[in-house]
Amino acid sequence: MAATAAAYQPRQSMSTREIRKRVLVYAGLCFYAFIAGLPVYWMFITTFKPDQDLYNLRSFPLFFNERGVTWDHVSLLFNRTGYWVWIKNTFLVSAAVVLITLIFAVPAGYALARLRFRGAESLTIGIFMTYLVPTTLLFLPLVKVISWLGLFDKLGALIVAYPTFTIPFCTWLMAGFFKTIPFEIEEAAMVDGCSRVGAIVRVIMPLSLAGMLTVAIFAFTLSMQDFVYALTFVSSSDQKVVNIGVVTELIRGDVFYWGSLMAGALIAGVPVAILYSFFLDYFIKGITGGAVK
Amino acid sequence: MESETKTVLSRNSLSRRRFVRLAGLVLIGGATTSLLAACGGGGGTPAKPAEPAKPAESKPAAPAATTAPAAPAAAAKPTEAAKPAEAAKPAADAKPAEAAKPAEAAKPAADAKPAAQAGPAAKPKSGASLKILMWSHFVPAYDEWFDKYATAWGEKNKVDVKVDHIRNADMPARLAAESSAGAGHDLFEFQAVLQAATYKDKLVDLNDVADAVGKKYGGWTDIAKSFGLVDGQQKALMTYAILQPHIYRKDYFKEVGYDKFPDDYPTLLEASAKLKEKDHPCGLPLANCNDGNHNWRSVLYSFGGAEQSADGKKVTIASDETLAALKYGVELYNRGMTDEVFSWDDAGNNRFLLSGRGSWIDNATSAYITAKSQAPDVYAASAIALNPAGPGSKGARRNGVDANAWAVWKWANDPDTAKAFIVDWYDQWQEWGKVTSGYNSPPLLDMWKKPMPGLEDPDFKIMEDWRELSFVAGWQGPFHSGIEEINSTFVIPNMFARAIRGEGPEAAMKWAEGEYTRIFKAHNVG
Repeated sequence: MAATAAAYQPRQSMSTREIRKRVLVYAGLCFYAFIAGLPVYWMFITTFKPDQDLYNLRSFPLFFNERGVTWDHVSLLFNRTGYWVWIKNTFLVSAAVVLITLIFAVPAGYALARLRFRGAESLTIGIFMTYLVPTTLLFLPLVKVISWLGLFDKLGALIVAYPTFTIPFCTWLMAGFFKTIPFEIEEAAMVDGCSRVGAIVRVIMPLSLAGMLTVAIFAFTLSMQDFVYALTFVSSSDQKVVNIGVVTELIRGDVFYWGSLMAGALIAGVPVAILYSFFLDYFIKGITGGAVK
Repeated sequence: MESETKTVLSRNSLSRRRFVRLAGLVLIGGATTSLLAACGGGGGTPAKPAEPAKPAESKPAAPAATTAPAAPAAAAKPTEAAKPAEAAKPAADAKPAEAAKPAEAAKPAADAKPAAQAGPAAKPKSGASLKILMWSHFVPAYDEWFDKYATAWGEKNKVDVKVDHIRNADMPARLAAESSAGAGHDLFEFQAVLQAATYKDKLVDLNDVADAVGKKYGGWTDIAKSFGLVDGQQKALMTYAILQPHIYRKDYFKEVGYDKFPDDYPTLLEASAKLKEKDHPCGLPLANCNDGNHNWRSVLYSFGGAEQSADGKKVTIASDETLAALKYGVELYNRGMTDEVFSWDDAGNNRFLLSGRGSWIDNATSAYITAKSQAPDVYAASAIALNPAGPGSKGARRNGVDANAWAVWKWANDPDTAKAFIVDWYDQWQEWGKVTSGYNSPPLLDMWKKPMPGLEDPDFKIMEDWRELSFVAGWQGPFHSGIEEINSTFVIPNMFARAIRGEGPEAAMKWAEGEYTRIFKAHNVG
């Protein structure tokens, strides 16, 4: 017993320097966690706070106040708007955009990174530059294309429009990721009898899982964030996505339904955030993959 | 046994790699299905459309069935306009009767026969479709009523009617997209920012509708006559004006010695200064928003400052009256207002009132109606009043108002069906007056006969005297394309903001004159 205690002694008597370091690290983490979590917490409180407390300047905004908790805002959101339809539309559009983006960005990124053709570097930069053109400039010319395709006011309009900004960015991301995979691995597979396609499927793709997941996350997030295309291409209530639906139907000029707005954003956002946490390691690996070779 | 269990567990447990694989499969399956569904003939999800948004928390006060119509007050004339606002209000403390259910109040009356048969040649085409784009009305019960009415109208006329609502601030972007696509809705409503001149080549001429409806209801009001008229063609037709009363805290004014809302601007300034000392400032938005546009127009017009000559050919913004209004604005800001006003949007003054800090704002009745459900204490202590009269020989009580307008795209499925819908909608004026508690202020003369629908409640009674006090942008002249641009680029609130921020009234007025001259020239006005 005495021997065990002696063995643990060095751990118990942590040096002051070590303690200070840990305190600083955790203080920093707590600060960032507080900054990151505060808006979500505030949304949660607002979702369940009665209007009278929300508008009362004497009520502290981060706690429930004298009138307690109400379900009215959530009830209004679910019973008097098309919220479930918007949620469904959002996930359908985002999933379709992720699929299209992967289909185009992965081969394009591979070609730009590994086929060693002239101008590949400039082309990569050029493709990325198209991502920087703001949607507020593009929506008017793009609406003509959408109309020509017969997709105006249909969810298909968003599925066609969103890849115009997800593919350039994700191609650039994948090109950077492919560059981190040593050429020798692919060449070794080809020496062992694989064709180029075989090497891609058997060797490169499994090694690029982190990059592809990152691309999927980015495409999904960008689709959920867009406002301009969703607003201008779709206006029917049953075709709206959640980011447009809550804003267009719960903000009535100078009347804001704050509780329901926050409920709408919270319910749509939190599951996605939890889902992302499963992929966090892949995401970090994917986004930093191109940083070092 | 233990190791066997562990093996089974590890085999059955969901590893992260397995989860990712599974998620990927689900994603691909979902995406493929949605792709096929969304791009298919039907477009979008096959899901049954959800019930349109009906956040009816702020039900407008419906008229009490037992409320006897008040004796009609003499119609307010500009010269008499300086009469106390409260005089027109029988019982300041009286509260509206319990709100009736909007659904009942707003019972669609699509079958109602017009009072007179003066409709245009346009008739709804059986089997046609009609897609309507509306703003999300500030009084949600109106949307509820409108959707039901449109559906009933469609069933009666065998027209497939579909109504979409979007936020008013998003309307210009949506219209730009529809204009560019040459597709979208058939009939829509401009909200406050009229762009009839911008889209004149893409809009159907509504002269026949204007004539027919005008004849039926004794003619259009002065502000409606030139609204939407572009090169002699009625490209848009005023649906209703939105009056902008002053909403004030009776208790705060009483605290500083005022039993009612002041009748003139100088007295209002003194009262505001006293209220600010008690941490109850007032606020008029000094930002690019609709409220900024009409709030400061009320001040400008009441002081006698005119934007253009009566024939609309000459810029008259630079005048002694405008200068006086600007000096007043500077003083009101310094002595009586909150400095938040530079960052306000259309909801800024509403929040300010609902917070309980603000002493008065200039806004449509929606702020007052909303207070009933969102801040009952504020509602109980508040009242609405006419805006005060300006000083001097040209001073009077003049209210800058917003207005909306119908318009029909040239690519409409059947323009005649859209026109017929518009005509029939005007016949429902009693219904939409009631359901909005008079928020929708009618654009036709016969609709201004007392008692007016929706204004039976004592709190809203003063609005029956508003017709001759109401002015849309461009006073003293007509609303033309130049004024349309000036209004949509917020020149008036910017002029006041410049004066208040330190440039001074003279420099701000000179800047505004330059803007007016440039824009008038660009539109070949004058």
